[in-house]
Amino acid sequence: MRNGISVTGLSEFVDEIKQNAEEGIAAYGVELNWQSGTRSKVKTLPMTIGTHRISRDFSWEIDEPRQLLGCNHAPNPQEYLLSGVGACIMVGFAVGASVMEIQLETLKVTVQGELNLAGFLNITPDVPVSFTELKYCIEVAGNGTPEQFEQLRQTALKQSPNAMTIMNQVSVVGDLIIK
Amino acid sequence: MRENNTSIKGDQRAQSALTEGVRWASDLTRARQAGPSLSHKDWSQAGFSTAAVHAGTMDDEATGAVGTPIYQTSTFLLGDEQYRSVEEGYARDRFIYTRYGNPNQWALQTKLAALEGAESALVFSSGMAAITATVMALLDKGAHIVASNELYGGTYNLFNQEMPTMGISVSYVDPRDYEAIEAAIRPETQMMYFEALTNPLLKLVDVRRLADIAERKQVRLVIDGTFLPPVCCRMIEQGADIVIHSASKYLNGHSDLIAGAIMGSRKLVDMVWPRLLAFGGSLDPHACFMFERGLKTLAIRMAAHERSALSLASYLEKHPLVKRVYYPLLSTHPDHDLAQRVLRNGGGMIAFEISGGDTAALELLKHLKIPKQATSLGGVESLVSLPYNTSHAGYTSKQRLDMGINPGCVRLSVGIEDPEDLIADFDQALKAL
Repeated sequence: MRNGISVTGLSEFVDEIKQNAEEGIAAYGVELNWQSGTRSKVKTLPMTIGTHRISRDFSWEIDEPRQLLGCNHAPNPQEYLLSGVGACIMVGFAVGASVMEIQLETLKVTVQGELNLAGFLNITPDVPVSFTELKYCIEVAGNGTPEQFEQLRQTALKQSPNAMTIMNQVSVVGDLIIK
Repeated sequence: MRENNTSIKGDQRAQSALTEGVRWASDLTRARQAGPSLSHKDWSQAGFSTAAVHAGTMDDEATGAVGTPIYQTSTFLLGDEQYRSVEEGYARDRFIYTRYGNPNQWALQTKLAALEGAESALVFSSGMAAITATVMALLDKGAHIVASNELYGGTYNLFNQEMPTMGISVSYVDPRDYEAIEAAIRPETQMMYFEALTNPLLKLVDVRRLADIAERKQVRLVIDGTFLPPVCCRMIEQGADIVIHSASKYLNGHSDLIAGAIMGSRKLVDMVWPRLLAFGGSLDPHACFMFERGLKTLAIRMAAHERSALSLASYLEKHPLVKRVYYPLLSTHPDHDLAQRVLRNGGGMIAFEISGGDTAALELLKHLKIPKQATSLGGVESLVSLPYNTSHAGYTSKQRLDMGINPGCVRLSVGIEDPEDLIADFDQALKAL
């Protein structure tokens, strides 16, 4: 299959959602358990797509570098955030290339951002806690024209749930349970 | 973009999803449809016998020969259209290589789908190949199955010995304890797996009730319908997502080939198809031809099975050496009311318990002249076996007792022989004990 993606399966899934909007609802979750220091262990929770549940038996660790008081045993939360944005753009790019009948040879996405820790540490109250800018770069080789690749870049960003979640902001609601 | 239909070697209705101007997923236009098939006649209003004879069967255009020719080939001439189907992911709709699909498989699959009232079907080289491919297609890493605690031994071995290796766990529950079934469902449960009529004690499972639980819990319901082919009950109509058959039994009906089949929505059967390719359990064209021929007489065979089974079960029930008889159409069967509601035909399976335990049961088998002492079921000839040393040999004796399989339990697959002859044979064999 071109780029390893079934455009037939994609088309049939698109039609399924057009016929029944409920089939397009995907619900995700992760659970983090503190291990020690800055290190935590994450596991995925069962997700649902449409009306059916899917087992998600995956786990990974998150830590901070020693300079940020961790043990440097795993990528840190910011790196996971950046990888989530980059992977999401990459999926969109590969899917878009497939429906445009472009054969990809190589595809690389880098995402970088800079934080001022004075914001997190509240040393300087007017310094933002958040990233102020994320920079991505897509390096691609394939049989598309420059115009097609530019169109793909724009579409992959515009249709990326993760990129759009950051660009458009999303409300974060929470609970506290004291045991 | 699209070639005209004369160049299509496969399902003429199935086309590329790609057209000029497609820029994103929402522009794609291909929708799922029933099949794949070389014929698209609607058999939904036809009776079982008519569909069994005609659905999917193709006369040879070149010679006028009646019936589906045998396409005994491993591979097919390739053209641009087939290459495109591989590139775009609709290779199931084209003829490429017999493991992927073959006209004899398609003819059979169309007939099976018509009989079940399903959108799609797949045939396999055995029932276990069908079960393995289906289960592996519908489950993910870390998944959990809620299954009957009275599974066919081969399925139990797959679940008990192979699934844990792949990180998949199974809980076994009484197939008629619906509260326990629901309580066994966990967050990671993805499938409920049950047999429509259990082996050997013929407990009839309420598929609609299981389907209701599956829908509320967002899990898939897979039913092994081997003991109850579509003439008896259509499992998809009852709410199953996929129905699986060991086609070596009633569907083929002549004890002369090994095959499996699944029927269900095109969406789910399309998910199973790549596992058929990966695990390799494809059915040879000649076996498909034999299976198709056998399947044509399914309805009349089932009528004969039921007639002989009901007569023999009624006879056995009155015999002083027989402690208990299980047949769904007997009024004494615990699920008789459900059977009255959901079964169009009671099938040909009987189980009974003889006084004197397994020793007496073995002795009875030696004196029977018509039923052959062999495992398997669903053929035109009556077959008799003892669960303790055949289908349920993989269970411990305590597990068998817990299931209700007591010493002296005999499983009888009643063939299509005349009921009077079968009764006379059992009469002489019981007298000899």
